[in-house]
Amino acid sequence: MREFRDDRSVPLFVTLLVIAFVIMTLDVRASGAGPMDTVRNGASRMIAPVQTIGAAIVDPVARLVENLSDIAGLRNENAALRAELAQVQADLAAVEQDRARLEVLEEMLGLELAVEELVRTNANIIGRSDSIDELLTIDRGEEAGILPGHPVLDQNGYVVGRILDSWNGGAQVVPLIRDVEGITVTVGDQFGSLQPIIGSSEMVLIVLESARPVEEGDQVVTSQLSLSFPRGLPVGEIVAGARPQGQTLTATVRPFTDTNRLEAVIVVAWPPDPAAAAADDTPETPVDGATGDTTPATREEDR
Amino acid sequence: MIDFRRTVLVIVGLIGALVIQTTLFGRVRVGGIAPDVVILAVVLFALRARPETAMLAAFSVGFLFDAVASSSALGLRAIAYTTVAFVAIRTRERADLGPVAVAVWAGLMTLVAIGTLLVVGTLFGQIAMGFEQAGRRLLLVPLFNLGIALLLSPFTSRLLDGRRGVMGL
Repeated sequence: MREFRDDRSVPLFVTLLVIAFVIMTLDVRASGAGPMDTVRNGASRMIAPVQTIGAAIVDPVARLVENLSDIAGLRNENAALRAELAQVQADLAAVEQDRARLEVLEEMLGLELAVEELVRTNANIIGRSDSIDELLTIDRGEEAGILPGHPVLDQNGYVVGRILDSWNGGAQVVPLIRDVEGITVTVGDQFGSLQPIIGSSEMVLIVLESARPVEEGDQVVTSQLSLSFPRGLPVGEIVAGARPQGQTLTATVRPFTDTNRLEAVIVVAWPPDPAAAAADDTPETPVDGATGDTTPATREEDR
Repeated sequence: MIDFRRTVLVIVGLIGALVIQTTLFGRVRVGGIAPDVVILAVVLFALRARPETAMLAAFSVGFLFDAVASSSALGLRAIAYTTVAFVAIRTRERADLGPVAVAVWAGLMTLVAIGTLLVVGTLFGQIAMGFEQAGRRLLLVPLFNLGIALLLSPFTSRLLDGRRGVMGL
């Protein structure tokens, strides 16, 4: 390391500092005018060409670095845009869902039921149970006159199931395909009982004292003998033609309603006379109006 | 006698640093903060130059910086750069261990320069900066300069070697 003379460096340092402070003080007091401004302008003019050349030289480098940093910025922007896109898609899906719900509700409003005088209550499906029981939860209950046993239809008037339980502000719907109570139906002019098949989305139709076969596509509707449902409501269709075995006919029925796609339902106040429903709850009556169907003989008595 | 060629080289080097600072690092910044290659040039120059030369060069380039590329009062950077040149020539033997030591030393010298700049600038009402902004500059600029000094380690090795140094003024 080269030697240096401390005795000269310190006075020089102090001198330079004093000069710098004096210049600075003068410049501050002059507020950008006076001799210091002349010095500044002269230096700027002197260095300007060098700066211009330097700028021309470093410009490609600066642009390269900027581009490199832009790549990182673009990546971040890309990620942000992807997140934004995902959010927009989620919003769009929500809007589509709302629109589908709106269409369902509009269909419900325009639905003409076989029994027009019945009180109908529209309700949104707000919850679903697990795949074990597949209960549906709706957003209206006792406050809307919905009671256990009331039939539940979809926007097309197809039978969905019945109210299992209700409370102020909500109710539970048990779908037909999981309702062990079954339902009394009519195929053509034959009466039968429609029962769920465990673990299946289809149901089995059993017609006692059957005289005629059923064909694929034959419509299955609620029976006039049913106490739980108004008559004539579409339930499903025969999956495959079947013939009576002896006096009994067994056929598979595919319900019209897919509960997985339901957004809203219609709850029908049935039976229309609460007194009759209360009478159905008596022990003498095998079933009440809220939970299931009676046998044909009993139904005849009820009627 | 002062070597004319070497003097020109030093002047070109310092003005080149000034130009790079005002052009390249005027555009390329990290988090709004750029390295200060003028300070780095002053410090590296002080590593080999005679004390008087180093301080005069620091004063001149600081004054020039204030004149051409600063809105602050003339003399502010002259004070800061002269101060750091003085501190550098007082401590440069500690950096005589190798390029890494030079880089760390250059970072510390940059810290001194930025600190001086902030203190004097604030006292003279030339810099109005909050603690957070000042802290970021006190932290990042020395780190950037340390990194650049590491990149320049082949050059600083030649400075330390002293046999082929271009700054033996």
